[in-house]
Amino acid sequence: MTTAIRTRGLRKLYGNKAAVDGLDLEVPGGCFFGFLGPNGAGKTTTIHILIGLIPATAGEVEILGRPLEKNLQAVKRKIGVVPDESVLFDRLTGPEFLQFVGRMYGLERAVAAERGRELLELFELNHQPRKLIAEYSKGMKKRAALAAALIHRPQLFLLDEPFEGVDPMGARLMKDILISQVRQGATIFLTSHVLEVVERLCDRVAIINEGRLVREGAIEELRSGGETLEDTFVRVVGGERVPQNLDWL
Amino acid sequence: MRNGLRYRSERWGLLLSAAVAAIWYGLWTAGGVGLFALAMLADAERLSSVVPSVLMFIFLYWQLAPLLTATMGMSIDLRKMALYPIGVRALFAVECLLRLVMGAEMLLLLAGLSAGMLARFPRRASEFLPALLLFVLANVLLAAGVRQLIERLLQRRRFREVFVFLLVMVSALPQLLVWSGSAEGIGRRLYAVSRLLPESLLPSGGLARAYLGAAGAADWLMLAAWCAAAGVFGYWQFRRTFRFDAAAARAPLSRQETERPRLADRLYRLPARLLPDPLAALVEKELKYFWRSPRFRLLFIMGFSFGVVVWLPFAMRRETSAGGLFQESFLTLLSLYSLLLIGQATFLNSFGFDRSAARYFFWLPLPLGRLLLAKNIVAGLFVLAEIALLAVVCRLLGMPVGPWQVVEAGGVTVICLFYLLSAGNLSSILFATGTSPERVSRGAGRGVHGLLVLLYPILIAPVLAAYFARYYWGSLPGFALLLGIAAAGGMAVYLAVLPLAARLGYQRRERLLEDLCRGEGPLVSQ
Repeated sequence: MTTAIRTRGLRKLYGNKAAVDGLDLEVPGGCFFGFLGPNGAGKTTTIHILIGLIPATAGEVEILGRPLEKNLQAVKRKIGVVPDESVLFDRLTGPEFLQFVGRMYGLERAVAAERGRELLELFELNHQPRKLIAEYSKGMKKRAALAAALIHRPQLFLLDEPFEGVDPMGARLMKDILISQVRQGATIFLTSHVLEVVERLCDRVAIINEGRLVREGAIEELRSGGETLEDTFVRVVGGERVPQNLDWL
Repeated sequence: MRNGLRYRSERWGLLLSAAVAAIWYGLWTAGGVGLFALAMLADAERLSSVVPSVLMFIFLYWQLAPLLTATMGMSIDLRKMALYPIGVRALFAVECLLRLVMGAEMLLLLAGLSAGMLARFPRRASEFLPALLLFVLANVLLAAGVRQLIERLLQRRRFREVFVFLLVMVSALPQLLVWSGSAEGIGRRLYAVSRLLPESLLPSGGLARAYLGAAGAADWLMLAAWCAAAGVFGYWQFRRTFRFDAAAARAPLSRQETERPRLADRLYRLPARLLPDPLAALVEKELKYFWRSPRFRLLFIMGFSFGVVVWLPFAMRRETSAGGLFQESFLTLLSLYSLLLIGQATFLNSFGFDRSAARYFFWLPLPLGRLLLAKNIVAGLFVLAEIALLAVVCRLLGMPVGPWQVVEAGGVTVICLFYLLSAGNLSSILFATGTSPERVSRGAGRGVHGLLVLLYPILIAPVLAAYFARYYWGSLPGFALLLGIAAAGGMAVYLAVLPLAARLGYQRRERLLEDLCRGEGPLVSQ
């Protein structure tokens, strides 16, 4: 299977500060890949570069074997995105939103409408079809975003904190759907701060800190020596601090 | 205040804001100086007639100012402070201080009048200075209550739209009255009604008598009663606002949960039936998006109502040649005016309403040029709908609007639209501003969009040249020829600028999305 994502010397500068600093990453196809890092490590910036939302300052990106810059539209047709924030078209209803996104990916109106209906049912968002997305809760918006990411059956999913704000039933449902997608050959690139979820779902994990890759490997490798993923994470990002006692606290 | 200054300084608007504030407060300071001179120089009879009216004006202004600012969405939501252990009373005190600051213009007038009276009648100071304090206190407390009441009402579904619409229409009434010749009669009737007001029972009456050295025990009692009543009212309203559930008030009363397409859904799909996807899907989405935004709905309604009220008096001046021109091309003029209004929410700042969701467009497999084209088509559809509605309104008002006028208005507006869309596509990319679709009375955002409105005559210069030929040389063929040239030129400009704007948009996408995240309202949905 081809490599789903490959970056070489990826850099993104904001003034003098490097949000992403020479990132070399290789995500095999058909893999559930966890992309971890502390707050401000450059995870979201990397995802934004991978989906063409922002240009990289330097470096190369290949998605599904094709250079991103030269094949932007073709690549976008094959990826599904769940953003970190609930940035959906909030003056559309759930069915309207899914139908719109489906048509943007080249589906016929009727096909997009049918798939949208089925996805809304699957994600249990079909009870109030006239409800605007603006009136959805945070968890409902996340579910709608994942439904929209699925509608065109992408080969690669880029998911930024997809379970944030989702209730346990919704999260379970989303995980089951994602696992079934990987079984069918899709690749999932996931960021999450919930390390237990990453441990349970992912085959491989990369950890970045201050824009640089500090550890990468199969989940078993990272957990070796009796360490949990959390232990490894804290050790490699240098976050092991001795708690200070504040007199007043 | 610090946040406001920081925000403005980033946008190089600090100087402009300072200049506007200097002019505004300079005018009120001049008013204060005028009152000082009046207090120093006027005879007793004049003082006794002018001072009560001035104080009545101050009282009314102080109570109406919160109404205007609340309607414009200018507010500090003190409810956010409920998170912290700060008592409601302390927050009410902050609200009262805000009302005092918002009434700074009136403080300037009162300072001028009081300084004059103090210089001329120093012995009356012990009488009018305490009365002045009570007057200010009553005003501040009452304004705090009125403000809270209005704020809550404006949160109710559709109330803000209707309220702003009425306010705007009322603001256009004076010139309509002047044009109709009934201004003098109505003015006399208003004066008669104002004489019936229980001026002696208002706090302004009590203070006026204190200034004039004629205050009795009843006046003091009345001023104290006003302070107490205003305090109770203000605090009561403030507490109610704290318990108010805005989301519940905004929610629709009932919603029919059915998947059966409604008439509106069919209308949204109508234009898209003629276009291929993804253009059709984009047009459909944009139509829904705009029509579901209170801000756009208000601008659209104003286009065929306020515009008529504003321009009608000009068109009715039959005795001048300008009046003839206005009357002949009245519908065209109104259509161009509505284009100006709709442009603020649509093509001048195409991504404004999408705000944070605009980034969705950039990860969809969608060329930016196609997106701009769809947004332009939707702007054009709304403009054409506006012209149709204007034609109906003009017919109802008895204006000479026939098929030729409708064709002329449609043709000329579409030609102008090509030029304006070209400028708008560039401004949407270069000067994008996030705007709240909820707030119905704010401007288009960045000053550049305002500047484009000022440049409107230059942008449509080729069309104006055609009208010059028609009215100056009286040549209809010349008019048609120049209009044809303007149409070809407009089309050429549009076709050249669209790919340029798309290319620029792709190159500047990061900056564009950053710009959209600033501006009015919360980042995501409200």
